[in-house]
Amino acid sequence: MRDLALVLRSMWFRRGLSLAVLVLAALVVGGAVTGPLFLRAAGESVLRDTLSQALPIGRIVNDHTRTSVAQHPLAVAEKQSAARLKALPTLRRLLTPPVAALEVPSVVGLPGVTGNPAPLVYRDGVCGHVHLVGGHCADRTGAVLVSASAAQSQHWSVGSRLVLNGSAVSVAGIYAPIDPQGDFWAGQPYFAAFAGSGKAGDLGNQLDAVFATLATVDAQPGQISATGSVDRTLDLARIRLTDVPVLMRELLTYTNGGSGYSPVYGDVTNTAMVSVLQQATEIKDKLLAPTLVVMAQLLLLCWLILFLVTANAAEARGPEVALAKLRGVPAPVTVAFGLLDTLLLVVLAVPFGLGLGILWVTALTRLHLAPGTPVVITSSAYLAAAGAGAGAAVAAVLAGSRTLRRPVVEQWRRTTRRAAPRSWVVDVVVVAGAVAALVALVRSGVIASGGTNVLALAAPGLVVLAAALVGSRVLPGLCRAAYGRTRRSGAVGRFLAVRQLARRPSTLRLALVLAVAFGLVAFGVDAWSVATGNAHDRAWTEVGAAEVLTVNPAPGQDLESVVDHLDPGGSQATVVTETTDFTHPVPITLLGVDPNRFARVAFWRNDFGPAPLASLAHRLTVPVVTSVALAGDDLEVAVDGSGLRAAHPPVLAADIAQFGGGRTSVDLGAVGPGTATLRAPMPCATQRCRLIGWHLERPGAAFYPISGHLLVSQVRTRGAGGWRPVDAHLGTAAAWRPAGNGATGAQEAGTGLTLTANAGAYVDPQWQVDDAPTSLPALETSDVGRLDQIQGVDGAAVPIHAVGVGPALPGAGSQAVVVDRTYVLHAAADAATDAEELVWLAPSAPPAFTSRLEKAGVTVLASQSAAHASAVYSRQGPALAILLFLAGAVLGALLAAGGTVLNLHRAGRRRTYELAAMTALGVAPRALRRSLHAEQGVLLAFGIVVGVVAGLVGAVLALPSVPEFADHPTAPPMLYGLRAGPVLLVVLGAVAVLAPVVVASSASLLRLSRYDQLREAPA
Amino acid sequence: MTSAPAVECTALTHVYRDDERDTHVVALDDVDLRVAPGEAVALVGPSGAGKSTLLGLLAGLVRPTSGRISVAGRDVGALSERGLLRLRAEEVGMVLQNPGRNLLPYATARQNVGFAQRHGRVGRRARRAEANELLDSVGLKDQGDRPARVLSGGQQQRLALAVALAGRPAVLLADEPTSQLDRHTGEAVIALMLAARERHGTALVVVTHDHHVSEALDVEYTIHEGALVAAPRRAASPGPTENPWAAPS
Repeated sequence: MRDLALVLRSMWFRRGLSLAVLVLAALVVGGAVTGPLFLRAAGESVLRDTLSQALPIGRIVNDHTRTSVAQHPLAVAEKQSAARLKALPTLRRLLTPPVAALEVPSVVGLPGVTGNPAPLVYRDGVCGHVHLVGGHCADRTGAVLVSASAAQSQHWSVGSRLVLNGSAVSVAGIYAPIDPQGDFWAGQPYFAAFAGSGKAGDLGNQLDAVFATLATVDAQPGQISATGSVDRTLDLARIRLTDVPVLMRELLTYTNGGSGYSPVYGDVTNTAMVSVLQQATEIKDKLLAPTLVVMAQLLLLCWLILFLVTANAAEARGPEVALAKLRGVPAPVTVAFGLLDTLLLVVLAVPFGLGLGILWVTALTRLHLAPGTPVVITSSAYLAAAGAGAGAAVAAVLAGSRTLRRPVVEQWRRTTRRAAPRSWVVDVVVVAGAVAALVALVRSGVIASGGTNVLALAAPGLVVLAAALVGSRVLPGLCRAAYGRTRRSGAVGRFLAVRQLARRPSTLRLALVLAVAFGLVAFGVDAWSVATGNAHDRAWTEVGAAEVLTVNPAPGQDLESVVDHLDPGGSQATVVTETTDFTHPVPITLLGVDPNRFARVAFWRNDFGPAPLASLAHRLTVPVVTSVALAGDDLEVAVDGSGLRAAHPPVLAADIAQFGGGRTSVDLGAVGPGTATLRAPMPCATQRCRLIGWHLERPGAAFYPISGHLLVSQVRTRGAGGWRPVDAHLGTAAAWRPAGNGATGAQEAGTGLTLTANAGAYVDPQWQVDDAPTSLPALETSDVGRLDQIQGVDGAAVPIHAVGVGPALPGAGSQAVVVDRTYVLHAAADAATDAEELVWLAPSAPPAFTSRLEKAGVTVLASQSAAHASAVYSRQGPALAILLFLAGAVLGALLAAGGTVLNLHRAGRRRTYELAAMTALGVAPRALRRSLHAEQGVLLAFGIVVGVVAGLVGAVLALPSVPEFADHPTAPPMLYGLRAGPVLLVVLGAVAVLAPVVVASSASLLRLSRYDQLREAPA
Repeated sequence: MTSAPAVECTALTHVYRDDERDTHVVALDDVDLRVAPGEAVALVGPSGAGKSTLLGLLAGLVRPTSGRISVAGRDVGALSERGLLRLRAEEVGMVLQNPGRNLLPYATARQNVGFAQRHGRVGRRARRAEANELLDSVGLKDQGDRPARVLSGGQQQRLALAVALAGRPAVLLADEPTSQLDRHTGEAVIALMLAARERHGTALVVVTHDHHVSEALDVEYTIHEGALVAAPRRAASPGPTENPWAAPS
């Protein structure tokens, strides 16, 4: 007890040192705890990211029963769903309260008007998830809520009386859904635009859902089929990683092994949650190996630093240990006396370090991981803290053993015998081992093989260790080499500094530790910069632009005109039509773009192609004639068939493309000898059309050949304003081309256009307006392999030829073809039946652009943000290991710098006698101060420089092999160039922090050296 | 019956070797020394003569190269490290030149004495009483609760003496105990040492450069270049035995 009291007094007596040991030991424990805490947090983040990015069905369990209204399917579904959940406690705990719905198909319309199909739906709490544009919620039987789009297309208003399934209902309110693709709606196809039906009504498609009370829906005729459903959503705030295995088992039980059908209960369950959880687990599992590799390196560094720090603490107790031996204190008591304070500090550091680690990981989590990610203190974190504490205790014992073993008389000497320097043999063995390990990594293909492997993360530690060992040997040599110069220069400060650095074994240790620590930091900073850069580029390449909106324009709406109107400058937005060609082994994405806008809006990197995007996009356009636009009810063509030779008069047909899709042929009439004016109605009154060309048919006489020439002299259309001439390029033969067999040419004829034919049996000669190239110029990615045709936006093959090839194209990655949108739509007669319409937004697009699009009548179905995708990629498992490396390395560098300064200060204290002696001899305090500055500054600078260079070498060697993504992206090419800027910034920051510490430490040492120390005569 | 000498050295030789430079220094060369129980011996000689080495050997802090040492009847050379610790705890007290080195600077005067009380199984109360007695004997009765670092140099040396006498050692070794003190204080310290010799029969072996100190002791040995080169000089008369710090009767 009395010895314990003495130990506590000594700790207070040396409270500065005690605090330093406590802080550094706490940092070590914090570093050790960071690994398991971060691993768990990263796993939670991956789980949340995977679940939140999945389609709603990946987060929702939907149970439904389909029977008739009379059999009350909703009650059945609710009862069965609850019964099954009873035995599944984890699933029950993690699902939100159910949202019940009853749906009945209906036909609804104004009285006397043919109605349109629309689902009649009761859904729990629907009024809280719609925006009421007019009226109020339907809260009584017979009242309904209709959508704003349905109301507009069907000319309904609040108070309108409708006939629904033969019964009268009234419109209580008009709604617009809030977040139509959100979890509340559970992916149910309530909204026509999102279900792919377009803006319904006009085209006879299904209208948006009509919402009503349960009583209203229940009141439908009993024999009508009805679907009762119960939707439950996974509570992302409540789920934890540890729930996943049990949850997956219970889901399989719930879904009867994944089939979804319950033979016992007779209902059907839809959910994709199991596969989403499986995916999350696979990504999360990829974290463990890199985390272990990273933590092993960092923990070794931390332990080494702690060894140095505790050696200092033990050294400070040297005189008291000697005194204890002198007084005959029993050996165990002396050992305890010499080590107890450090051990007590280590024990105290464990909870502090655990707290520090929690704070550190919490900060990292808030800054970088998925929103809502919890920081869970796992048992492995506690174990790591205890283990680190035990390791620290071992370090303290090992470090203190030298002091404890030192003979009493040696302790009394002014200068100790020179401590045994680190053996050359040890260094050679370690360096050889590190080099051998690196060679092994190269030979085994872990690094420099073109692939990725988590073991590559071990390479920087090996490089840095080898460089640090060599460097720490070089420093004393360099200092010895400077002896002559510093002697001749007469500068006392430098003279003393190089000699102190050269003769002390502690110099080697400190230089080694600093170099290793800053080497790991340099690698960590560079690796993180590279990883975030690649995540950014991958995300922006895959998305294509700052934001990409998937849209559904209103029927007949010209999306390009809308975007032109909203962005007249052409630099904020562009329309892109996207489709996928599945006829190749790897699907290829086809993008139809407006070349000028595309060049200004799309993401581009210089290595994507042989020239800037503007230049490449320009190649997509070739000179063609303007399209022949047709508008109106009737089409008239003046012809002269005198030159035609056919068994029977052929029929001239105009091939017309309707804007928004649809190709139609308009039979104008038989072409006989002599001139004639042919007329026919055409479906171009309410929407624009385009003349594709003409062809000649021989109804009933197709087996007879046809040849000769046909003169077309005039084209007119009739609309609201009467007949108007149409410029069909009749005076430009080059504006027309024969298409297919049978047509041989088109020539100018002064009075019109002469179309020549020579068609055999069953061949209809065709001529087309040359408003699009026959073979579309295309930008292709090199992986696609110089295609000469591709499946177009209507599924038909379109000839293409490459005008630019590169490794990646925005919006499509490495399997992509980009063509002019107008051409590819023309090739499909504007019927982009297989394509998706997108609006790409540049970073300069205002935030309100989306709402302006919607106000213009365009439905925005989905939105993809490159920034969001970039953030998600940088949160994937492998990238998080790099973040952990950086976080741990920064901690290690703090430790190294702190330990170094402490070590230097303690070593300085032991030299206060000689400092006092030099002062007594007349050496100016300024010179001594400079000496201390130079000594500490050179050591810190040397360690930092050697470390940073080694770390960057490690980065060059290992980074291409360090996995950054959970999958293996093919585009864009990953960039691994050195990011000197961030590294330099960190180094400057370290210098900025350490420089004042060095100055303060030197001033403190000079204050401690006093003349009265010289009164002690040497033994 | 003659009691065993407090200290007896026979053919004591000690050589310091520097393996790095392959050199050696003969610190003590065939030294014979005998100190009777209660005898006060001064060791004088030039710096580097081997005086402190001899003290270190007597305290068991260094193993001799050859020869035999006996302290309080125990063969020092035959003792294990544990035995040496017990020797120092029970039979040998030591006072060093630098007052600060004799003491734990952060511990109180009483705690410093208690730190050295390692002999036998003595209860806390008895230890405290003994510590108070020791502090009183060196005139530090009222300083018991003050940290050692705040005491003056003279007070620290007196405290060091009290600490060294904590185990009622058979031998008190002192290495220039008065070199950092003024003369008056130094004489007082010597007087205390002699008083302790009278009280407990403790033999004194004092290394000193101060002839005032050596004249106050019984015998003076001169050491030169590791050898006892002169015959012992017997003191003309014994030194003062009264305790200058004792309370007036």
